[in-house]
Amino acid sequence: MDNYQEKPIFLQIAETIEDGIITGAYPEESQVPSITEFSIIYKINPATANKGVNILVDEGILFKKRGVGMFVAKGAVSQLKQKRKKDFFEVYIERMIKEAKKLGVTSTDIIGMIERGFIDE
Amino acid sequence: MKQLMKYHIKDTYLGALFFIAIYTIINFAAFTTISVLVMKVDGTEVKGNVGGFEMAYLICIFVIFVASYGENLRFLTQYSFTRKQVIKSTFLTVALISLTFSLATFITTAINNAFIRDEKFQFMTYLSELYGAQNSLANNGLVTIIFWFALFFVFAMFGLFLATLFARANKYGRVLIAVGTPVLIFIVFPILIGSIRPLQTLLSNALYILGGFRTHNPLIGALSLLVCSGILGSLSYLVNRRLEVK
Amino acid sequence: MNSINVQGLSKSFGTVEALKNVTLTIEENKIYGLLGRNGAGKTTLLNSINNRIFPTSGEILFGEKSVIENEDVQRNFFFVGEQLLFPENMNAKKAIRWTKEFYPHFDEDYAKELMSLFEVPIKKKVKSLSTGYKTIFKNIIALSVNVPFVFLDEPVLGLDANHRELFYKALLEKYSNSPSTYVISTHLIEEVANIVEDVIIIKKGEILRAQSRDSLLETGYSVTGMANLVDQFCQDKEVIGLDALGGIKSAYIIGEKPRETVDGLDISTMDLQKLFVKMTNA
Repeated sequence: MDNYQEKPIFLQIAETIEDGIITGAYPEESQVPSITEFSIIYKINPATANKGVNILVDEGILFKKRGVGMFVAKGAVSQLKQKRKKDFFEVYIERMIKEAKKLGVTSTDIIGMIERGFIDE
Repeated sequence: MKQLMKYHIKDTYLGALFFIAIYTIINFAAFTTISVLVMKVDGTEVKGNVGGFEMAYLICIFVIFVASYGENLRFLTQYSFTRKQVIKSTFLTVALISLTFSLATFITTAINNAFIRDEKFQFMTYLSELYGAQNSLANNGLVTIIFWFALFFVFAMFGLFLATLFARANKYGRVLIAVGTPVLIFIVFPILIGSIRPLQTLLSNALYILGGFRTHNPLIGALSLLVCSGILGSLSYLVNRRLEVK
Repeated sequence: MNSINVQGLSKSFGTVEALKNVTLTIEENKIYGLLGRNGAGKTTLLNSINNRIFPTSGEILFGEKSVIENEDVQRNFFFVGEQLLFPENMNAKKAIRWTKEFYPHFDEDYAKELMSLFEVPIKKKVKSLSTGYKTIFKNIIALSVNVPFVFLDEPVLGLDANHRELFYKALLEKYSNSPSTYVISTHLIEEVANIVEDVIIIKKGEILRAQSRDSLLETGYSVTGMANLVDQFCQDKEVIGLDALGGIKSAYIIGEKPRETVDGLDISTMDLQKLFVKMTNA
């Protein structure tokens, strides 16, 4: 958990779980760690962990099975990918453009860099 | 209260019992040795009374309560008991130990005397010295037990009272108490009594009447001692009420 | 379960006013961070709630009853302060025994488990344990006692990093499995920032803030950039601190973080420690 990051901890928790779902670490319909486990591993207050998890429950990414725990919903991966794609511009592109303008990097330069980046991958 | 008494018993009472055990052994060893030696001396001129060994119990009970009160108050307050509960249970413990010491004194004396069956030699407590050896009351077992109970009780209460003052005082107050108390008792008081005639008369008269000497009645003495204990106890209670524990 | 209601509590030691008109509520099943500088009044507050010292004025209630000299109330609280008030000759083993005797819900097995996990020398007298082990010992008892309100004064004082981490994990596990209220009084704000749910900031005997950590963090932000731009931005703002390095200035502001980005300025949230430091400086 990064104390100096912009985002409140509970949002970071939500994102960590999302990453886990997208990368397949938490497959669809499998169980994710409990609030207790999250709070202990990340050394955060359970209420905070709960807040983060509940965001995903509200969005339908996770669901609670009474007496058992929390599970990844079916279709969560595609749901998340869609959401992230929508946010992609705001989260990554806008910031990049702001920095580019600061440095005097043109859009052509950026496009060139992006193409290079994908090739190097 | 039951748990508190359990604590006091484990903490102070067992120590007192231990002291009784050790002291009784020393007592038997020392005094029977003396009496055997004395008896071996021929001649009827040898007559004697040996006693006063209960003084050790007086000092012991005083020290027990001076030493344990502060620690126990702090510990028990930390463990959620109220000051009122602590001091009440301490009073109960004082009574318990006083009674135990008193019985121990009585039994030791009785055993010593049973052991040494000799006209010219007798073990006795200072009671007979104080109230007259021929005094039937003074030689009564129950009276002896009651009187010594009262004396142990008042010594314990005095120790407890000093302990409460000590706990309440700051570092200067504590030095004052530690130094002042013996000075007051052993220097100032005797000088005052010795030099101020009217005071001396007043005190001897008071002692004579309240101590039961005029009537040769140890029970009066015991009562006076218990009244003093009550006063000391009340004072301790009041100081204890407002003690800050940290 | 009732809450602890401190109302208008003031405490003076001679001429020194340690607490001034403190009013706050401590609710059940929450982890509180009680934050304050040295001498701010944290320990005085804890001592007052736990019947160690008497208020000069004001009251402390639990339900309708005063907490002072009330065993029924005090049984719900547990607090071992910096001065471990144990008899000279009491060793850890005996202390555990008496804790069990006096606190019916004390989990002796759990305590023994932790004692051996942390390698506490339980045959040693409590008063003669090292600073670190004194702290560990206190913490273990506090985590095992199972009362609704547990107060911890500097629970990581003298602990190495490994033991600190172990403590936080044990606390969170305990809290998750069987919740109680834990009030953690500490200087090490960075470490507890994520663990606490509510924060109480005390400054020179007065309550500066008493609210949830998240809402507290939303009350402030920092602005960094070229000095003149920062100054311009701050003109109508409540600035509680400034840092300057060369031509770059950082301003710490109480207020709602602006929604839109501002050209030339970096706007970020303040972490709890920074917020605390800026709020409690002079």
